[in-house]
Amino acid sequence: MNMKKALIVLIIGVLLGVLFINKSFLLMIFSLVLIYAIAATGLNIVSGFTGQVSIGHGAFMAVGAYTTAAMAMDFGTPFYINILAAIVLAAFLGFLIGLPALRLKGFYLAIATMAFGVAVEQLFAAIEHFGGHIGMRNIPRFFESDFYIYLLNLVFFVVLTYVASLILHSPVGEKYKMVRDSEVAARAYGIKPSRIKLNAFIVSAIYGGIAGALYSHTVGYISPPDFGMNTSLNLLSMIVIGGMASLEGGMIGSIIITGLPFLFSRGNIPMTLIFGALLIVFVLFFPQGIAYGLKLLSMKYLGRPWALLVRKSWSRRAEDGKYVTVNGKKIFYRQQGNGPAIVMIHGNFGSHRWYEKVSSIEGYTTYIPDLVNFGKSDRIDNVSIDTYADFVKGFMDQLKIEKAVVVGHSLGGAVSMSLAFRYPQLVSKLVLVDSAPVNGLVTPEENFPVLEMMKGNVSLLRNSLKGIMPACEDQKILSEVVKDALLMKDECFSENARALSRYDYTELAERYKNPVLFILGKKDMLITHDMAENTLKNLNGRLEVLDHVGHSVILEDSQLFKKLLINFVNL
Amino acid sequence: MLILQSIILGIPQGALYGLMAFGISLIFRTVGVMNFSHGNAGMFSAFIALTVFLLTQNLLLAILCAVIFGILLGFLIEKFLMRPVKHLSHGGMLIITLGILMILEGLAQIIWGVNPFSFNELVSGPPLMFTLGEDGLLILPLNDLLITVISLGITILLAVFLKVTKVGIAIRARSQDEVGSKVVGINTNMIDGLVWGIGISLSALVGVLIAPKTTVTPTMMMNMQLYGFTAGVLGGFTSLYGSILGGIILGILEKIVGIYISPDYQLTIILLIIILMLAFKPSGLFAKKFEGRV
Amino acid sequence: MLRVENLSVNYGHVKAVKEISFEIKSGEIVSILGANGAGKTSALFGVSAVVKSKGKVFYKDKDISGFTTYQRVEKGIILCPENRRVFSGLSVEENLKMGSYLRGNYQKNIETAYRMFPILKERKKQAAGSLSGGEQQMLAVARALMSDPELLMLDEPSLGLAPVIVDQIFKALVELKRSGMSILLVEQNALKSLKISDRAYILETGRIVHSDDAKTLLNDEKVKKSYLGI
Repeated sequence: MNMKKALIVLIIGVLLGVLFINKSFLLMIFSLVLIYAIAATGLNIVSGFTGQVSIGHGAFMAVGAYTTAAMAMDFGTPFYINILAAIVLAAFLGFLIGLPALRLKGFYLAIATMAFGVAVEQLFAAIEHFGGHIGMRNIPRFFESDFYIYLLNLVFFVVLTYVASLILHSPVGEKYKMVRDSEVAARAYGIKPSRIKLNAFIVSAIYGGIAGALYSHTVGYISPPDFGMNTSLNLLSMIVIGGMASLEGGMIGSIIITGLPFLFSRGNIPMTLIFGALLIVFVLFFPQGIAYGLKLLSMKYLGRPWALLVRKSWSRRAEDGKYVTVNGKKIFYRQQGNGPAIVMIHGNFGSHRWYEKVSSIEGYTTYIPDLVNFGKSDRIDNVSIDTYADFVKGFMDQLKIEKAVVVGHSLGGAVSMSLAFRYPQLVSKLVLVDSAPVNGLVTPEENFPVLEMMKGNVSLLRNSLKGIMPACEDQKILSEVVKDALLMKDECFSENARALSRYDYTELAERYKNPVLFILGKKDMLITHDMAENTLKNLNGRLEVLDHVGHSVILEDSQLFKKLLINFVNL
Repeated sequence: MLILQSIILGIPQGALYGLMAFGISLIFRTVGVMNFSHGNAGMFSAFIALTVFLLTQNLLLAILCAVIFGILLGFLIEKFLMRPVKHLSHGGMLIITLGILMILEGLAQIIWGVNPFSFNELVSGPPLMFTLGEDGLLILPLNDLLITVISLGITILLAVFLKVTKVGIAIRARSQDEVGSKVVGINTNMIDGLVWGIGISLSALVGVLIAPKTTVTPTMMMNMQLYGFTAGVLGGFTSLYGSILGGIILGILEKIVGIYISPDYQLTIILLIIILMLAFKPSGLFAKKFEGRV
Repeated sequence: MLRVENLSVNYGHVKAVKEISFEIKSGEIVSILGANGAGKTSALFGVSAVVKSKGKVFYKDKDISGFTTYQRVEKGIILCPENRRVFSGLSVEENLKMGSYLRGNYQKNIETAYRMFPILKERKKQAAGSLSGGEQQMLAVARALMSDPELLMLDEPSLGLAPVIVDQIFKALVELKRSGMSILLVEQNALKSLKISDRAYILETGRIVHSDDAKTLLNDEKVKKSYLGI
């Protein structure tokens, strides 16, 4: 959450308050939702982000609530002093309960925190001065008006959430996550897990304390069970349902757990039953909670209309080039210059445009098609590297190109290998630019959902493409190739990647005797040095490694690529 | 004198805590889950006993039904809720048991409401009295005596079961090495279900035995579960017999605090013991080193 | 006797075993060789269903792919797993008793076990965890034998053992084969296991890259050098 987002939340919150300004019952619920969201956010810091499940967090609220209530009633001190005292006491208590946490993990920690929660509840119930089991009444409220109370809680919520996001993005926050993911690994980085856990407990306790203090002066009366086991379990439910390790999780959970009961207030179903069931359902089926689901949904669908719009208008744009029909399918291509032929084949998510800056090679004719299923060419059903290669062969036959230097980038590399190895007579020389390796390229299964999402999310697509051309500084061409990528056939977002895992030309490669040049960017995150060497194992080839570029030298340093290409073809 | 009386009153109470801890430890040792729904599973079983009793007026049948229900409930929890997450995450398992805790409480509220029901003692009658020295008089209620006998009897029975029967040894084998127990042909899912069943039936037994004192309500076992955990912590969860001993120590300690300090602070002080124990000697009073599962 | 077709074992996204097929005929000793992390242990885990796997497993021409571990044990397919996996808190005797949990005559087999490994008899009341590494390995083998295996699968039985004890165990294996047992042996000690094997498969990063008669492999310098490191 950045400053801008915080302000937006604040404004929306205020508008919501204004909308219901006369419904003090609703404003009261809103206030409670905010207060529990603060406490849940605190719990999320220690449980979600640092991995220390606590089921006694109600105790911190109790300390905050009782401290400020007692000070206000006994000494009449103002709230800002009381809340400071509440913070100090809560922090101290957080420190105390954090101490056993240094040695305890998992279930043992859960027992300790549960015992702690109940112990604090019982302690307050045993103290006469605090009203024992009955609790304290007539605590001065912040303001007469529920609206102002709501606004105050809103401000606290926004500021505390903002602070939480600052903490979580700071070095300390990073350490929280490292401790959660692996204490052993964290130690290897010189982090002391015990210190970090203690830190998280204290921060988390402070959030609980503040929430308790707000509760006192918002509701006006407190009693021990308000902060007992049930509250602790509810807080845990909030972050599990809302989303562990998500800043929004606390708020979403609080809306459901604090808000839901008012929907059911007339029914006879006890809330514990519903929350318990929700808790189990979420752990079993949606362990990442609602926040994650919402994020995924917005990634998938929110950008979709925009992506469609971009795609539609882009596909209508007239493009400078020609068409040729192969096997009944139209193939778009650009042709430039005079002389022997060079055919350039683009990669996955690509188009002819990727070669735009290297299309004029003196003394040669360059032919740069959009592969079928890409760009402005027609669609076919069978997605496989060999089929793509067959269309390139058809393309060359139609244009009467008997022999050509073939350049292939990435997936295009695989296509040109398929072409060269199966029809060696057509390919006089082969240039592989960060090509998929000779034995196929497997995309990890967990990446496919992301590939699918790119269809409907322009910025995701843009970031991904930018990631594979780290040295490219031309923003214009970047935004154009992003739009070109959107023109790809829908199914191909996943299917092309799958096609790349389904071939193995290791043995075929021995049939190709002509020279091969493999150009590899050192910063390439998809194609490794081993893959390149393995590809060249059975070929008459040479590997050229470029230090300063990533997966796409043709866009990242087109001049250098041109030079390498010209040297190679003129050899 | 007072101290002797606290011990006498503390032992029956402590025996129940021990039984509670025994069940929790058994599940924890074998399956690796700390069962936070243990108390409420017993509470729910006590309601079953209550219902059977109200229908038949037969106390023994009621208790039997509760225990059988406990076994069944344990099997069901293992099969449908714990098995899917068994190897996924400790956090997940923990949260599921908390979910069960809440569901059982809610269900009990729907079915039986929140008003307390009274429940009969096993035996009634004048307590046993012993005179000691000049003016010392020790009181031991008959029901308490019976509770102690039953608790210790069950413990010994289970100990023998675990020690000599084939299935008992298989349970211990499973608790030590899951892969090892699989490859010798032990049906680990069945063993896990059985362990859950035994564990929860113990809680059911505790539920019906304590019911005359607490009355039967949806929250009757909340404190009992905490005491069970405390006893387990004292005994060290990895030692089953430590649990019983831990329970009895706890029971006596509780009475002493109640008599010498104030009943109001009983629970708080006991809970502080848990936290201190966990902080400084998580292996329990009797174990040499901490080898607990997390 | 045992036929495995296209067995795959995945741990999340990590593919430990990739569609391997192999076979053990009745009365054979077959070795699976390969470097650390080649997927040998996973392959055995797949065969005995300790982990989930894809592919088909046939035992005596019956498809047992859907069987759980204990159902396979019932059929006589016994795994003696890597790292011994003895029940450290149970006594030696109890460990052996667990060996005959589903199959095998305890009274009869325990005599055989004690005869084969006399040290175990001496320590029968001792907790298994208090035994030395070698003794634990003997216990693990003895425990596996308690169930009268028809097919015995051993995972690294020689790991971390003194040569004398390794010899003892390998001698026992030859004897077992003579009595008609089929044995699937996973070993890093390729030379030793090839010497007692009929055939062997070589596993590399989850795939079978070579298979042949043990004798042929022993004489194939290229294979020895590139795969077996001998």
